Amino acid sequence: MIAMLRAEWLKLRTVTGWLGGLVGAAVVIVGLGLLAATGITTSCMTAVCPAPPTGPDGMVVDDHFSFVHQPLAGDGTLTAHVANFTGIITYPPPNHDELVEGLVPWAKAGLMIKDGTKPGAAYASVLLTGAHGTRMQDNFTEDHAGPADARFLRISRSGNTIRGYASVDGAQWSEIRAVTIPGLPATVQIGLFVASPSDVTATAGAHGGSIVQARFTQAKAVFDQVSTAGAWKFDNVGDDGVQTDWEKYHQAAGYTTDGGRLTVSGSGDIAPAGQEAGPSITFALAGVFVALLVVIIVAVLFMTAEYRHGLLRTTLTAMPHRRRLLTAKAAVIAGVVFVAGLAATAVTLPVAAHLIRARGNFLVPSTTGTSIRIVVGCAALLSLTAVLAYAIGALLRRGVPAVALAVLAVLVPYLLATTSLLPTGPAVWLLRLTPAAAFAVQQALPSYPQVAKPYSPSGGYYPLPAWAGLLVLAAWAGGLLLLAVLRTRRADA
Amino acid sequence: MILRPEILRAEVLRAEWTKIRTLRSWLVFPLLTIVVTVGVSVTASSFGGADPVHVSLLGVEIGQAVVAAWAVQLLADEFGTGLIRATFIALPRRLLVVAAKAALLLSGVLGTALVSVTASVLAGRALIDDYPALTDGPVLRAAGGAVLYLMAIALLGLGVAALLRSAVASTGVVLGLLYLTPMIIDFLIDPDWKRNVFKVMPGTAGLTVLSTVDLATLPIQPLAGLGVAVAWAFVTLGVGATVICARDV
Repeated sequence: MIAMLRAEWLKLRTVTGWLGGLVGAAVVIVGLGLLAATGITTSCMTAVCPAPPTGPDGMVVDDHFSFVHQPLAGDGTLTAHVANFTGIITYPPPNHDELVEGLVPWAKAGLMIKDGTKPGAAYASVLLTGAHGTRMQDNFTEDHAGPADARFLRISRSGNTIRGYASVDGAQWSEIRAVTIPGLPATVQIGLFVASPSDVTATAGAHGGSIVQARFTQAKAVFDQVSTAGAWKFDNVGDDGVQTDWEKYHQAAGYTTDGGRLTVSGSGDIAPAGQEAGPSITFALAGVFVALLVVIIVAVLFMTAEYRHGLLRTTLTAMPHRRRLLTAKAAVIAGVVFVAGLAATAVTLPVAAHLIRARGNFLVPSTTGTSIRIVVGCAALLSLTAVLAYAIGALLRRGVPAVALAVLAVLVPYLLATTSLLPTGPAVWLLRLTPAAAFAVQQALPSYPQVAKPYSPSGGYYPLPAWAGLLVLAAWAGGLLLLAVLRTRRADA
Repeated sequence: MILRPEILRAEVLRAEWTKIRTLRSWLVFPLLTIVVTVGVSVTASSFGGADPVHVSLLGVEIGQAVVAAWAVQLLADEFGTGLIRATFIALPRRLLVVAAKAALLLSGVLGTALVSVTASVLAGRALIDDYPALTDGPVLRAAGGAVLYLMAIALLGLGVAALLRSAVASTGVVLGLLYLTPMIIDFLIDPDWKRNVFKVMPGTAGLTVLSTVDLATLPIQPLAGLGVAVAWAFVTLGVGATVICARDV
């Protein structure tokens, strides 16, 4: 087997066009990636664009809400009853011609403990939502459901542990969750908050992709039976100073108090940010597509050249075991492409990230784990595509149809799913079932069920996790390789 | 014996036709083009979309790959097998050989595209609720444009094969021009760059001929876009034919 691998490696590296092609593919990944990185420019009214806030784990977040708060020294508890929760949505579909009374599903009203009022500061909250019952949410990404019909909320701090409770009648309490918020100072801000994310819809564009529309909404909550009296202070956390006409002429974000009742109104959201926050490192991967085409061509030729020149007969005379021969060839092309792809993406990602930041642009941060997953995942995508193309070449024995079929199997479904007229529904299925599922390795930011954003393939969100996408491609490549082995064992060379 | 040019022309055509039709697999490419184009179009039509006419012709965006492979194979295979030497010894006027191949390819693609496009449009009309009347100007323009576009892609494939001679490399280059362009555009940030690249590349510009809705937001208007694809076809084939005449085989 070792001899076979060495023989096949010798074949691969001595054909100038093949080795040149693979080296070229690596160079294209680096070159196009860096070119794309230098092409990113952002301009703002001010000299330096303000960077969006980042949460405790360094990820970009939305943190804009109305907060009626007071300091809490040490441990303590706050209880309140949400007596009324209403809102408005400005100009929703179908006609976009009127203000509608109502709450968006993830409108939030509740109690919060937060490390100050700076956007992005650590927090934990117990809240009532527009359509998803009560929840306990903390530090932007965490979300746990509580009882759906409860209107009494309670939050309590004990050290770094914060417990959230909900109750239907104010007598029988059930704990939703106890969460640990590391690094909370001795004095935190505790209070009532209201947030109302934009009403977002995505419609299919006439020329492909989707048109995302976001409409201003505002929510108003009336809290009574508030357990704490004392001096409340209001902050419009994360306010960018821009007011919509609704806020100017009807009701600005703020709070009023009448006896023991506090009425709080506000807009915004407390959630992880998505791709809309700015360019993510995915932009450095433009060269991977070109490299995929080159890899397909080389992998197909690696097999079909054996038939074209009758070399296969010599090869089989020297190494008669056909299954082993085909696997050895597959292993060689897979290994070489993986190493070349890994080297190229491992260089491109950090350098491109540095270039984008060095030129004064904001780059949406991703965790080290995500970066490693993108680098290794792209190498695996290239490598498995090579095996797929090679297997198609072995099955068809002819270069042109093999290249065309491999392109139709890997690149075209991705294209159809991301930039064509195909609606999101079937597009998502293409990215589940076809070899293009493996493009999921590129996703830089996770999607969250508790965030009302249009997560679509054209926006850079894939239906499968990276590992599952790679498995789909591996299954296709493996299956075709098996067919190729069966065919080569039965047919004449 | 000195052959008169017009006889020679017919002879060349007949020779090329014989080469095509005696190949056992000669019907594979036309049939595959029809199956792929109509199949994808019908599937897309069953989902509908914002531009019903374009959706009903979505198969053209996939079928063009088969047409490109067909065109490349027609010429590049002769280089691969060495048959081209025999061809040029028998018919030394190389330009005529290329012209004959182009003429036969064009008539084949014309017939194939007519069948595929007609079937796709009829299926779209049956499946999509708000499909415009078949005699509407935009529908006729999109359908006719689709046929012309596929013919342009065939000539482009022939031209690239004449330039590169390697069948596999030529297929890769043509499919790269067609399919990598929109992917790269997706990665460009600067909107001006996006529009400029979209306007000058054969696939992105040419396929605008399928659009019938919201034309003002397109980077290039449908007929001008088709013109870009046709220009690519003629320039590439022109350069390819010149190179074939000037170069050793």
